[in-house]
Amino acid sequence: MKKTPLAIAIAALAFSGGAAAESVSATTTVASTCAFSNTSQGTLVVSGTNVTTDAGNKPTTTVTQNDPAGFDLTVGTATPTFPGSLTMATKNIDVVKTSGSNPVFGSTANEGDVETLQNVGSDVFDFDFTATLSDSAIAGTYTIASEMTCVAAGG
Amino acid sequence: MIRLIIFLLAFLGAPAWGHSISPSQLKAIFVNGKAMVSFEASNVLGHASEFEVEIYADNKIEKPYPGKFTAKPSRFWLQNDSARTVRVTIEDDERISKRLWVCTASVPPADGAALITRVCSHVKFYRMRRPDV
Repeated sequence: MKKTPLAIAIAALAFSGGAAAESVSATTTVASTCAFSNTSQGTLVVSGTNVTTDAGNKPTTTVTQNDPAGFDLTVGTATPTFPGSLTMATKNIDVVKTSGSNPVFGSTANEGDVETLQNVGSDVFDFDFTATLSDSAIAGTYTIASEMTCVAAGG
Repeated sequence: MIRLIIFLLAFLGAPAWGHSISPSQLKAIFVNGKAMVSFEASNVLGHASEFEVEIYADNKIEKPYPGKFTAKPSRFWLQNDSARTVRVTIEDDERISKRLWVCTASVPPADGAALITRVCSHVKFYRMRRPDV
């Protein structure tokens, strides 16, 4: 007999269609993304044994990401391509952050530096090359290729 | 109101410009000694650009993966505002740790102060345990 009120309550809930417990939700997942944009190649100035980036036309790029601490930014090794048997005797590469939302690399970065992008948003970087040749410059095409990589952090 | 929602959704999604790959985290299982991953490379740089697929064994992107892999395509052009699927097959190798990084790198012009930009996704591997005989 004591079970009767409980049975009535359960039946009432069933007939009510459980309306009191109904809820609607909508979810989605935003993909974690890192992208480079506004990348421009620069020009080099060669004089004697010195090779530098043209101050008025430095390589530049913008990195944008939407996942706090989801990506690391690395500065890769610079690779020269010079005419004849010329090689790079010395080199220095400064990567300068000119604006952005992450306090990465301090004022400048160098080859091999890695930093985690803690903040969502965009950061703009300029590349400044200074190198010396193994001998005086000869006629030909001079290239110094530098690298910047946005790497998904390993879980 | 609808315009505001569309604007917010666009803002929350992938960046509307640049070159990138998606997803950033991949999982793969070795079956019969091979594992396959696929990702989408996109180009919204504002101009056509050439890209190359690379695999690295470390997150500093200093050690190219020493084992065998094939990427289809391995080097490709993307028109502006376009994307394509890239499939990478990696052969099982004891030198593989449990993770690798697959990347697309821009191919810069061949003169001047060139800049290569690269975006890498993390791949975590799982191995099927062989049944005891």
